[in-house]
Amino acid sequence: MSIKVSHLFYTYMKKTPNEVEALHDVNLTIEDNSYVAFVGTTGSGKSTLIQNLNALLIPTLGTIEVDDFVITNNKKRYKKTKQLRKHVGLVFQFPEYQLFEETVEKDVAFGLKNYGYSEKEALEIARKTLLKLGIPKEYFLRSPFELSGGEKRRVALAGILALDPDILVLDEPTSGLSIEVKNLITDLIDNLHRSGKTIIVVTHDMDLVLKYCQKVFVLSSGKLVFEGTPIELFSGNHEEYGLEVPPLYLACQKLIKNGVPLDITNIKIIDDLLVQIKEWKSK
Amino acid sequence: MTAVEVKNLSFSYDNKDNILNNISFQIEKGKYVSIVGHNGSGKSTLAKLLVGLLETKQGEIYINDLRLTNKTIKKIRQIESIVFQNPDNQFIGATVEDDIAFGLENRNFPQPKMIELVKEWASNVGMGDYLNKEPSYLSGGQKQRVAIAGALVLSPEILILDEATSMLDPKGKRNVRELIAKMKENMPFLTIISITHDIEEAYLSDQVIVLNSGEILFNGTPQEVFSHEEQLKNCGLDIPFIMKFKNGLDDLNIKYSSSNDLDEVISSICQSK
Repeated sequence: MSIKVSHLFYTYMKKTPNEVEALHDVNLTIEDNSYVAFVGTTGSGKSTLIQNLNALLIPTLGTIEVDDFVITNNKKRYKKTKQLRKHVGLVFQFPEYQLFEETVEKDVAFGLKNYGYSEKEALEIARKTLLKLGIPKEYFLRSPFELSGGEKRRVALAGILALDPDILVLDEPTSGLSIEVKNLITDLIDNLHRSGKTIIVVTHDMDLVLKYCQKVFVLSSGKLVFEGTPIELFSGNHEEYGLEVPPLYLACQKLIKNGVPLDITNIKIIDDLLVQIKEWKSK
Repeated sequence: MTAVEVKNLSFSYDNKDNILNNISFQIEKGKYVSIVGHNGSGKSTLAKLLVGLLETKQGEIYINDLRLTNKTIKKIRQIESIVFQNPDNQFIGATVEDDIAFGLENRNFPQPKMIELVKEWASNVGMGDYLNKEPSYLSGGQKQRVAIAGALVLSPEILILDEATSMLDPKGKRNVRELIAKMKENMPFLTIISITHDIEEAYLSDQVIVLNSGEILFNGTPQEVFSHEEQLKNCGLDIPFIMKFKNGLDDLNIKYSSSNDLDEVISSICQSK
């Protein structure tokens, strides 16, 4: 079970004077239960790519295989869209802007009802999912618009998670959040990964990439220009792709240059670095 | 000399809840000051008050010792320029050249001088090769640099950046950050006030003012302000990496140089071994 993208091309407004090629011959594989990131500057094709993964966009050329689903360009519409989208949950950037229902629980149940669950079943699953995300009972009957930013984002996430997708795709899950809500959301995603889900994030947040991701894909002008571990990316041509290195990695590099023997592959957060400095000092 | 003085300023949009609550501070001429705070802290409201886009009802704002009122606003707008958050909402010209010239045209600048100035500022912000380009061909970072050129071509004494980098990708952010550093060096009398979310950017400024729920929580050098890790965390703010690193070294009782530069801190801990 995995995701396989083969010779994917995507062109917006094909055969018009405004046609723009957003993806050019992208080939990649995402292993089951991995945690990967797509990075690249604005306009590199990241969002176009993830929308191809759940058939919001249909390839102009090429094939996408998501487990048993095969999406190609030979039909205008993909027939199994509904089943596919239950399997691949896509959380847009600022998902809280899409909340619309009268109450929190109704908002989360909305997707489930589209999948044929009865009102009662849908609400039951919605409530369970909300509790898992740390939204207490007292909130269920409130309007989602009364919630704080972090609560709204969790409710929006719950709407996707209620469908229990095996693959979760998140576009900029941490942008615009306060530090504590950001930590809460990244912990939550980490737990979902540990419970067996495949996680795909699109992000500019290199601290997140370093801390969690096993693999990074870099897109530049619609082409896949790099795939490897975060450490391989930061020690290589990141600048050419317009990417920043997280300050933690920068500090590690400087320490190594100054003769401190660090095991850089085991440094994901600042505390890991401090532990290694302490060991080195005590030797 | 004081460039900006704010005295007992309060503001509310609905006459009920105060967005800003009795704040006072001063900014010296030629300083680069960051105003930070989480969503809803009142920082964007403060930016709008400082340029007179919102009317001050309670308290006083002085720009170059001139009190900001309906009568002085025209004069004060010659002293201040502002760059907003969204690069697309402030591109008015059909081309880069037109856009930078917009403010000069409004001030009836003689054309030969205007052409010269526009070219000079386009190249100062690294957009000299794009004079005839339309905005749709530019990245967000490039548009923001054009906006900064359009603000600085009017030779203001105070430049206000209202989250000017928050919608940019890391490369665009870095370019604008480098441009600010260059301006600081070449224009020592320019006062820069940057309203920002970006803690690493704030660390580079001379003074940091932290707003929380409409009140000033801290006001001082980045080193002083960011030493309050816990309190900042409680109002949703992170601290710069170098400060976290130093705090961690303190916990381990490891001595290091008091420098604000990561390179020096690192070489000092390596030498002391």
